[in-house]
Amino acid sequence: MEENLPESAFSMRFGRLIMKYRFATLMTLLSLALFFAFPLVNAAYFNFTAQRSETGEGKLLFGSPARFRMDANVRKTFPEHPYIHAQDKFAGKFGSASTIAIVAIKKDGEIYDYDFLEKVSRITNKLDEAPNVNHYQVRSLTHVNTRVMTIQPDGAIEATPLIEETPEDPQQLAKLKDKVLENPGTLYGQLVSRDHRACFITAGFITQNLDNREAYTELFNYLRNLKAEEEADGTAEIYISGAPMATGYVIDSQFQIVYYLLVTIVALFFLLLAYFRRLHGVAIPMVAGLATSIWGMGFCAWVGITLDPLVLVIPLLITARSISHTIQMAERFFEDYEMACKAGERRLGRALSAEELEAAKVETATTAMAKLMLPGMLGILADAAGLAVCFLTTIQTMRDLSIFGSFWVVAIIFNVIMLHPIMISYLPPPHDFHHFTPAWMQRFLAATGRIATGPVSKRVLVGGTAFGLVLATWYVLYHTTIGESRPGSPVFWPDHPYNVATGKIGETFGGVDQMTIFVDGDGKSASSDGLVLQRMEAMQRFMKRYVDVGQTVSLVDVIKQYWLVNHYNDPKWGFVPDSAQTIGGIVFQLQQNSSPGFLRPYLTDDAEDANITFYFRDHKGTTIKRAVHYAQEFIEQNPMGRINVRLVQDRGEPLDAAYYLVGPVLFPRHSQMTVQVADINEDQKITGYQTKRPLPVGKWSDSVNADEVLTHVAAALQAQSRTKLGPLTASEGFKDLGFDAERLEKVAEKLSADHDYRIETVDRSAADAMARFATVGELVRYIVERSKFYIDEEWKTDEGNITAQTIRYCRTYCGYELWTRNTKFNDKSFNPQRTNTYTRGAEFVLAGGIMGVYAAVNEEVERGHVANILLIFLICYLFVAISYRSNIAGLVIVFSLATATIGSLAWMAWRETGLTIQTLPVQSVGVGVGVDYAFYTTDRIRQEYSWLGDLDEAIRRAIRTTGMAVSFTATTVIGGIVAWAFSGLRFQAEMAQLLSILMFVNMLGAIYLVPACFSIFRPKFFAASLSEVTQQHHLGNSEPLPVAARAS
Amino acid sequence: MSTLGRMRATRALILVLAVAFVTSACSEEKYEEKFAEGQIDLPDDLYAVTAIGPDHLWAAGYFGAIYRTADGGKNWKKLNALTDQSIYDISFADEKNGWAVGRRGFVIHTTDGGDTWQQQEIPRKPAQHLFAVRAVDANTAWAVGDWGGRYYTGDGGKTWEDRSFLVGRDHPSFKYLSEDELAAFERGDKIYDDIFLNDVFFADKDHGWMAGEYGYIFRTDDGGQTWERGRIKGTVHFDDISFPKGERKVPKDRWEQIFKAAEVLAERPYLKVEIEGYLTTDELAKRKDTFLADERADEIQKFLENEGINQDRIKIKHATPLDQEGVDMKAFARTKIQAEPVVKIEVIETPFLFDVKFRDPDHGMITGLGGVALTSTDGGRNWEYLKTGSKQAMFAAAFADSKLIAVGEKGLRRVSLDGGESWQKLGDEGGYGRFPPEKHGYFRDLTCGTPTVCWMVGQGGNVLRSTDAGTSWYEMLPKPEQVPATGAGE
Repeated sequence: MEENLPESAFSMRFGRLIMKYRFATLMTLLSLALFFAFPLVNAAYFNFTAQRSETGEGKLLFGSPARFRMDANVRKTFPEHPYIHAQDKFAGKFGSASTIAIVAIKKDGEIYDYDFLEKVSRITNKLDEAPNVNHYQVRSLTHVNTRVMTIQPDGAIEATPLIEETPEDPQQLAKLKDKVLENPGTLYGQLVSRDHRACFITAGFITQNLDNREAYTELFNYLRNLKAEEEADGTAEIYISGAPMATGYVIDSQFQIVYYLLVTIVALFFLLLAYFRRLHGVAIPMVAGLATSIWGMGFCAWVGITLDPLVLVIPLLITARSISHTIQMAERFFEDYEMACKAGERRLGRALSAEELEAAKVETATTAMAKLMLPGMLGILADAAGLAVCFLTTIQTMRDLSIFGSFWVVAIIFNVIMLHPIMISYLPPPHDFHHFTPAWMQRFLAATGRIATGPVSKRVLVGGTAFGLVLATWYVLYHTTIGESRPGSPVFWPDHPYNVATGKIGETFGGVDQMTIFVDGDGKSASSDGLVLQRMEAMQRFMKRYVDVGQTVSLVDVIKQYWLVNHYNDPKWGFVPDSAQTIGGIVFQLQQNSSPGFLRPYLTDDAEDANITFYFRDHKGTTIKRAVHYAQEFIEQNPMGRINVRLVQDRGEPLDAAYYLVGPVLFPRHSQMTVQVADINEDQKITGYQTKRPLPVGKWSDSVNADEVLTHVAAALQAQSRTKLGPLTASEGFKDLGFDAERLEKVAEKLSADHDYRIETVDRSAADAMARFATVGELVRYIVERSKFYIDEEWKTDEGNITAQTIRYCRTYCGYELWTRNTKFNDKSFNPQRTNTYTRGAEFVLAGGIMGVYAAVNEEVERGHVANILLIFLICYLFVAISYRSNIAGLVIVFSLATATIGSLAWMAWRETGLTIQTLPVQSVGVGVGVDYAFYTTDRIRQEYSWLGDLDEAIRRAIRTTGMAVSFTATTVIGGIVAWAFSGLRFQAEMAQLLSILMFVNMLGAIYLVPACFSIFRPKFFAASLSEVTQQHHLGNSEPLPVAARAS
Repeated sequence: MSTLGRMRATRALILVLAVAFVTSACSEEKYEEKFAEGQIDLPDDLYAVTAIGPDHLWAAGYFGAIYRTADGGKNWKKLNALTDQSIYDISFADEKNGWAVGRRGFVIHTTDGGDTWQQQEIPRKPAQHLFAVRAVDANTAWAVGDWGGRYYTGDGGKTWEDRSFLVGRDHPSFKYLSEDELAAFERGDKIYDDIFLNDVFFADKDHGWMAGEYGYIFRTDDGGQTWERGRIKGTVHFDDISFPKGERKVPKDRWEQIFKAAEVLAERPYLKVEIEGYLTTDELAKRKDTFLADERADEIQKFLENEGINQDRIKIKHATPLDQEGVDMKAFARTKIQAEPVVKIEVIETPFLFDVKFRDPDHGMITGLGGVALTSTDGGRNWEYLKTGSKQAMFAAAFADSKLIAVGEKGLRRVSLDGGESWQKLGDEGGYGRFPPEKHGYFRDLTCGTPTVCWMVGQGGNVLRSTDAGTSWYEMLPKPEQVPATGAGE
């Protein structure tokens, strides 16, 4: 039974205020909508002018950069993770994680055919000319860098290109086949398939240039044309795979996305029409959805966020949520409007006049808003919280989603809760105040109410759900995959050209997914040392032994081949020599006698850094986890540096859990700087390691005093000045004092040496950094400002040539960093070690390639999933527990949420859908989305109980009334997104299915589980609210009707 | 519900939630190893094989790999060789006692068929690679290797004697020693010969042979007490090239003679030549020096180089010294005088030899670089070239019943049914016998445990077995699951 809220209640006062100033409010909301619509118009104008422009450049309205953009930026999907830092560090040296792999399969016979080899050559050349390609990362049978090292009968060694001119006659072709067969490590099975029917062509691309839709589209179209051209003669099949191609396909499917959006809108329209059967019920939710979308999209543009097409399902869901809340409001309005009109007719004994109907409409709209404000706001805030917790990841795309998603949800407060009664007030009263409810739904909900309150059935329901929850949890724990769970890309269906191509490459050449382990040297020739290369080889073998690796490629293979050839081709000499000098000689020979850049895929020109590339057949989460696990194990067991400095974060309960959950928003964790020094024997071999005392890091040093700094700066300037300087003030310019860049650098060095004032930054040397300062005061301010980032921990070698320091440094996040200086190489500056490790000599650093990216993302996703779900549960619990002052109510709601969440996770595990960066927000939002059903039900039970005083009856009535709205809301939202289940993008389809399941289970939770729990536990807050609300009821002026009468 | 009942129910609900969520943080990933102890994990390149009887076989190779079968190849075990360095050779005297040798003077010994190994020390610093070992009996073994390394044990390896080849005053390399090496020599230090000894073989306790770089072949009849150099019978001789008097240019009618010589050299890459020019008394009297002779030799060298013969294979012999201070030039000139002005091309036959095997104390075969195969019927005193028809390196040979089988680089395999007179390809289309078609890498060693049961090993852990004296070969290793099955397919 219904009660009216007292006029003194906040929600009533707020409702009256809004309605009193409804025109002003409407104009304000309209203005805001226009403000947020501007970037959308700007985007349309830009695209329109761009299409008409010869240069392809569009124009902006009023020159405003606020333009809505939907685009893919791969780099933004990478988390803040040591692997990504390592990739950034080495990207300029070895290329990037963006690789394109092409397999050309000859339809009939072997590849040793002039026309086919010409085709392969053309593909190679075209790939080499593709936009943003890294020319040093092109591999193909016909590429000039594909060389064969041969020993002439007289002992001469040659590294000649395998194919200089495409062979034509059968003898030459047979000779080519022989050469391929003779080189199983580099050609046979690697560039030519084992059945001689396919060629493998790969190229690396510059990731930092692939940061926008235009770049991807250009590359995607280029490759698609290449495929079409080379397949046109019908002699070959061309398969193209690789991360840039996947992104290209996603961008290419934008038309499809628009199509599904339209389908969604149409579906929602008809569902609303079918349920409400009147203009109000259709127009108002649609307007609310549109307004919310405009706010959300506009907000993205104004704050400079680009919408990623892959996370589009979230904004779509939010929009559906706005419609969902509108339905709740509308449902309540129609219900109360009917009640108010009937009461009025009874009181007056006649039909109501138009004016009376109008007055009843406005009043009911106001009270309906006030009544639903608490559960509505709780639901919206829970939705917003679900998105807000995504901010805990370090993935920029997720953080962006968290920011704009939360705003988008909060916009529902304005565009639904506030706008709804205003729109009702301006629309004519409904012609018929009788509220339509299907009879079969009434029967269904009546049965539901009986089950939820039946003495046995409610216990069976709750007990069975609890048992199911435990079972599902067990299943989730042991069967859920973090990361992709299938080969190929889960974004696409198995028969999508991308997955077909990826599968074909895996089948033909053992995989396209690569992981690079870097060898990070501390100076010239650090990576061309015998020990380092032997460790590299040992690692390649170790990984092959423990992990399912396809191919491995490194400098080791080149050196072994050279050494063997250098010794009469005797296989016994196919090993890596011990002496660094010998290897240096080999590297020099190969650099001099081979084509330019021959060694660059494996070794930098100065031999400081090297790498090992592992090719995998798939990038399943389990494959990556195993690869990382064993790579780390090998590195731990096989140190190879002479001095190893590590910055290791403190571990220990209970902070581990806190940092695991909300680490990205906490202060950087205290760390230890550990130092290992190698014991070297007479042969200069490492025989063991001494571990030095760990140095604790995390004590804050006080900011330095500005006057003191000025004194120090002045002293340093005076010491480095050519002329004798008098007392210096902050305003004096360096140029006036006669300081050039060279001398300023010396000043910086002196300040660094005497006082630990470091001037250089991550990106600039001390000399460059100094050039930015014009006056003494600017330099002093910089030092004072930066001093708080510095930590005093420092370690030096006995000889003093290596200094390691830890620094608190803030980039995207604040953290401790290791900076080192090695004066042995005449470099006096401190260099940041982005991986927080430093080795004198060389060390292995994880991990590059697409597998390195996935490894980092998966770790983040694993943490994020647990953290997000637990946090959102906690938030929901607190919302409910505080709002109703009841622990049990909080626990019951969380129980219901957990059932839906764990159930959906179990469904994902069963469907072998891995938890990925894309599923992360869906899960979080899904929790928030579901909870408001439970809020509405709980609130209704409370309100009904206040009238009836019988909890079970209150529950049954709540199910029959609010349960109806909940069921309809859920089915409408599900109906709206279910079309996406048939999307050509598998990811969107599965996410739509996942969300549908989440909402359906949450709906069941709201009408079965939550009421049954309340019926069993009978929390006190219902009784507590009885006297209070009953009192309020008696203050009200409406006459309640029996539920049965209302339902009819 | 009573207060107590409500408390219980609340606790039960909390328990369910706790079980559901808290345990999620406690799950830890467990990794199972792909391979069990003793299982062959990665198919390593194999360099050596030794067999006792038809069933017992040990194969050794890269990264400390030693694989053993005791049932003719049905079951295999990877043995713990105590190293991750290459093992170059392995030899067993019987089913229990054997040695394996490898990089940097690595030696291990077993007395239990390879289940356990003990490392042994070679008395030489710095350690040099050991390329071959031969177990003569349970206590006696010989090992050879880099830098003239030759070692002997008669006590099961407890002590190894260094019997390496040394450089003495009468050694051709003595004159090339550096000052430090000469000083060391004068002090009585050992100066080792810079030569690879690639293989050692004993037919019985007394009769043994070794082979290596520069045509080094040695034989012993007394169990290694004394060693005698074997002689390779030369097969190539070039006539002198005559010049018109006073002329340094090669006359046109001699060009054909030089081209033919170049063809022969190109065909036989193991041959080197030394070229020496001569002049007549009249020419000497007219020129007052012997440089004309050198110029003629230079001309011949240019011709050969133009025909593609690498300069490393051509040496100008006995050229006129540029710095003539302290040199008796009259005496030197006398050595350059001939009745007719000619250039002599002397052929040096120093093949690089990989492998030596003997069927019995008299009949042996050696294989080497450039398709070289040598045979001896007098216990290794004299050796003659066999026409194998290949330029590819032959790494190993074996006597299988009445057949000769040889294997080598790039999948090379040959068989001779007539004692080496003629050779056929093994298993190829139109060739002899059966051979798995997809075996393209090198085969580095070959052995027969009985006259009919033979084995070959090579690249990528390939082990093949024949039970019909080398006619049909079957793959034993790697097992099919270790071979990447990749191909475009249908």
